[in-house]
Amino acid sequence: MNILESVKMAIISVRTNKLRTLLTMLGIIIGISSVITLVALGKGSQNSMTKEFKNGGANRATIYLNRDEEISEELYIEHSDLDAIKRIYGDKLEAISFNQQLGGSITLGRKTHNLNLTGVASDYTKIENMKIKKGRFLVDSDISSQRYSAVIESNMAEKFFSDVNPLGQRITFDVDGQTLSYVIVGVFEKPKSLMGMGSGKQTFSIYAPYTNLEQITGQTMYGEVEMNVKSGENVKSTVTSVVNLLERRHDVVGKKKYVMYTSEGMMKMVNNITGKMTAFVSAIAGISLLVGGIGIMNIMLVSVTERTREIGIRKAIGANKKVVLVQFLVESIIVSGMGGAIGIILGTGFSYGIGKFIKITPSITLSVVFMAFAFSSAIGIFFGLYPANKAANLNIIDALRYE
Amino acid sequence: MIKITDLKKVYKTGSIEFEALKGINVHIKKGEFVAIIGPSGSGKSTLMNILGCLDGSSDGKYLLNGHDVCVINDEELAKIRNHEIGFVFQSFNLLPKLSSLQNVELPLIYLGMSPKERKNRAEKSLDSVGLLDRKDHKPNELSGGQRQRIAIARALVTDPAVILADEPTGNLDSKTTEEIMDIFKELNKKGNTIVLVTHEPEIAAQAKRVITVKDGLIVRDLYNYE
Ligand SMILES: Nc1ncnc2c1ncn2[C@@H]1O[C@H](COP(=O)(O)OP(=O)(O)O)[C@@H](O)[C@H]1O
Ligand SMILES: [Mg+2]
Repeated sequence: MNILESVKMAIISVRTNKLRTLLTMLGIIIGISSVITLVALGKGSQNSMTKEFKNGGANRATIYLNRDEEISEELYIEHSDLDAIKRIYGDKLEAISFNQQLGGSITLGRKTHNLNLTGVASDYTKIENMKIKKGRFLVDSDISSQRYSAVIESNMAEKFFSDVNPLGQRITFDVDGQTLSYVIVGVFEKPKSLMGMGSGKQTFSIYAPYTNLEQITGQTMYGEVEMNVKSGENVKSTVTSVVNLLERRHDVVGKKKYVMYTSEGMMKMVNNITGKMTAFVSAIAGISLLVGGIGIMNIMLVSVTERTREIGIRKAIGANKKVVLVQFLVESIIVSGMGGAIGIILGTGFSYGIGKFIKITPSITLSVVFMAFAFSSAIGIFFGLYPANKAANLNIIDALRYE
Repeated sequence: MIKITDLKKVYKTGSIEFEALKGINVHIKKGEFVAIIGPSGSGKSTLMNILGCLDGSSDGKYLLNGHDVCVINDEELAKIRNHEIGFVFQSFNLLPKLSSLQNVELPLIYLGMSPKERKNRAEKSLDSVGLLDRKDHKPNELSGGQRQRIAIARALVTDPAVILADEPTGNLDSKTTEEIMDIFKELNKKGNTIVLVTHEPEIAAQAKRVITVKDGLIVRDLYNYE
């Protein structure tokens, strides 16, 4: 007898007991669909984070004062430091900018909105990924003349200037206990970000010349400097050179007073974390698959008992042990394989459904699908073996007499 | 064809041993129609199960069509059950989920026959018991007599060396009993070897040879001459 006949027989028997088959598959369906969902969403979020880092500049880096060390006034980064960096490493850097921020509020009608005023240099667009929708970004003359020029966020422009062109308009808000008034020179839009999401109340962003903010706050020294390394240059070694330069200029060589943060390093860390999370979650799903497998074994054992007489008849008319074993094994593989297939379909559905909700595009690769299917079939073999073996070794006379 | 020598069977139930067959010697030739008769509990079924290779003996020798049945492994035994023996049970033992045709085809599946040839053979076998028109019926859609005829068709389909029937009419009324006996007689006329167990003398009388068993021993072995 060939395997095709066994498969046919198994299909007949699986079909005649649809409800039981479905219940048997349930464990596998739940296990596989959750594995697929979790892996797809895990991979999807990893992908979108990777993409975001690429967008935000994989070559982006920040050097800042090490808060774990004792920091003195002299260590702060000054304009002269920035000039020196530009002079020496300017050809390796796409952009470099100080950055200082002030929180504030703006009133429209009866409502007060939070805002964030950030002072940056004119090439900041090469560091932070943004799109200029209207007008322009800050230019060198804005910086050098410390002008009250502002680039506002597009949703802010929609809210405050819904019926007029915002360019050239004045915008007035409260920052740091002072009321300031800026001329809008441009409108920007940032790509939707995972990390900026769900931060509760909306906060509007406004960019102004950092020199202008220095006037307001009186602070001309910085705890950090942001930069973007030219593509093709080695990010880590370039930034390390800049750190070394700062150490030399501030006479703290080798004292770890300045540390760096690169997107590259961050990306590695995030990948590492999501990888670990996926593994952890997969382990849990693996346990549910194990439970599903035990469920299959349980039902198969019941099925063997229920069909004792059938087995006796089959053996009496010429089925040998191997044939009976294969028949039951094929049945259990079909059940678990079908459970796996349904689980894959459901899992795909779930991951897209949930993904839509939490704004992650799930990533379902062929290898994951294949592995899920192979694994569920393997469960069928593993947990079907004992019941099938039991069936194969039934004594014919006893089996025929079984009621 | 069938030659058994000093066949014994001991049943062990816990520590209690019971000798159901105490040394059976019998020789059945090709083309014979043998009835085995005896009171209930005399060991008829025990003997038939051993003849049908459904059960093993405790002692003695059993030759079937040249095979020494006592010394072969499971796989070969299954082959013998499939090729050489057609077993007809008192309780029919059809698979309830399969149609008549599928039930009759089953031994041919284990034989490894192609689906087309299988269908041909099974239909021919169903025809020979007069039930070809019921080939798509499930067992529970048939009467007892019809079910037994399907079971006979299944026993016949592999063209076995011997047909063994253990009280095949035990669950049937007298009219259907006659129908079934007519089929056996017809099959025997065509050359099939038949061994049939019964406890009714009227049925045994229709066979060519009657072996009487009592308490695990053959007490009489007579040929009927009409
Ligand atoms: N599996 C068994 N275990 C123990 N004793 C058995 C078993 N099968 C049959 N017997 C005993 O063997 C004797 C013969 O049984 P059996 O061959 O079925 O008789 P018959 O078919 O002639 O009525 C009976 O006394 C019965 O109780
Ligand atoms: Mg009996």
